[in-house]
Amino acid sequence: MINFDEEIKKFHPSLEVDDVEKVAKTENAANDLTDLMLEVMNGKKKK
Amino acid sequence: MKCYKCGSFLYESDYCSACGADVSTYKVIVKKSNEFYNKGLGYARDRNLSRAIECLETSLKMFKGNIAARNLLGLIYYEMGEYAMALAQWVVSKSMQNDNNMADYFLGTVQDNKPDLDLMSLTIRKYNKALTYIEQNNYDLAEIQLKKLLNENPHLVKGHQLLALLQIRKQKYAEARVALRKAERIDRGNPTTISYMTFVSEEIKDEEKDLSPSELRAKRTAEKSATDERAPLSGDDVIIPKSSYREYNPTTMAVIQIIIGVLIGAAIIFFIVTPAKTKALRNESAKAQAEYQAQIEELQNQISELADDDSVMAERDNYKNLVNAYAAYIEEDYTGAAEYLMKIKKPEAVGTGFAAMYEEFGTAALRQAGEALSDEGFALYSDNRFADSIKVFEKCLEYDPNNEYAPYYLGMCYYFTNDAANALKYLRQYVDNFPGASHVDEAYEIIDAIE
Repeated sequence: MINFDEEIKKFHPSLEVDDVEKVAKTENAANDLTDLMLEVMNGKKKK
Repeated sequence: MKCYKCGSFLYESDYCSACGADVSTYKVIVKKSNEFYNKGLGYARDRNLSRAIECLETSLKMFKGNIAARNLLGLIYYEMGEYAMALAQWVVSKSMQNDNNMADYFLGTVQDNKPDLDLMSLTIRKYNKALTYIEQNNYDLAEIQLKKLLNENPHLVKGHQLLALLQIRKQKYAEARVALRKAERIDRGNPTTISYMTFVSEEIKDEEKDLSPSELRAKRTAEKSATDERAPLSGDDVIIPKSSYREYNPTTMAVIQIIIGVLIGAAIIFFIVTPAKTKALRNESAKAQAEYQAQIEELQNQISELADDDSVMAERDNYKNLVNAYAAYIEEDYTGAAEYLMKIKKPEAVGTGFAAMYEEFGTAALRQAGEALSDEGFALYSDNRFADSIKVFEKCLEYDPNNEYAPYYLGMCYYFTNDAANALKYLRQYVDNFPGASHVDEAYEIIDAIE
């Protein structure tokens, strides 16, 4: 049985074209595993 | 692969050859990122776009500089109607690698077409607006909005899913199934689509289980006509009434004209060409008949000529036999002469000159041949060789029917061979034809003895 109210919560507003630049900046700034690795390595060095 | 620290190209070693940084862990991470990219690419090729997105996002979480993964992710978002998300990925990709990047092509294609870009932006706004309507419990308005935007952006998977959800809410399962199928065509492995589709299929099965086949058919037809795609009307749309006017169709007319042409051609052949040809054939036949008649007559003439030739041949043979007979007669071979003379047929018919010659020596030759055979037959008779004697005396009579001795000795030979009939025949011939001959008395005695 599908619960409409529960299901509708899964639908989120879509990214609009005007917001692309903002999202791109966020994406660019986001850390990945290599960043984490660098952080770990730099931390080791500081220690 | 490039070093994270100095950007130099990395080789097999775990340390950068330029800056000496330890790149062993970095290499493992990038390698894993590429593995997820490859998986994502495989799913994308199978049109399992949701799973492809999962893999590519994981790949980028490991190594955000994976340009290929980012470009592919943008392309998948674009395919799913998420244009802004696609643009965002390509922009990030471009910022990370300015040269030799496929994102250039994607961005260029989208941005160069301003009307399309505006339409994309508008459809996304409409989707968000539909969500707002749902939040406000304006489900009908949301449905109308979704139908409009899906007409403009039919690739928006989540738009189809949201529309299906609204129709499920209204228990319009057949319509929901249509929307879900459209979503499924774009993204085959989407878990939301699969979940809704399973539910809708079960509901439809429950609805249809009590229906008869004819009712089921009617329901399907009604559903099909109800779900036929038609763009929702807007205020700018113009309704044109149906006209009874039919456009001139040149192809149909051409076919009809060809058929008429073929029929006319067939009629011309039947009524004009065929009789003329029949007449010509009849004339040819009559001509051929006349020619054959002439040939027959000619052949008949040749046959008669050949018949004449036969008579000529016969005449030639007669002359030949007469000459040979004469030659034998000169040499006193009377029986030989007689043999040639006997081969001559109708000497009187050959010609007067021939008949005169035949008479001149022929009669004499035959008489002398008869006398010679008579002597020979008598000698045989004397030796009691009656059978041989009969043959010779018969030949003698053939040559010279007036030979006096032949009938007597033939009668005697037949008498001694006990042939009474022939004996009487020849002995009577003898006594009748030669009453004064020397053996008449003896002949009468034999006749009396026989009778």
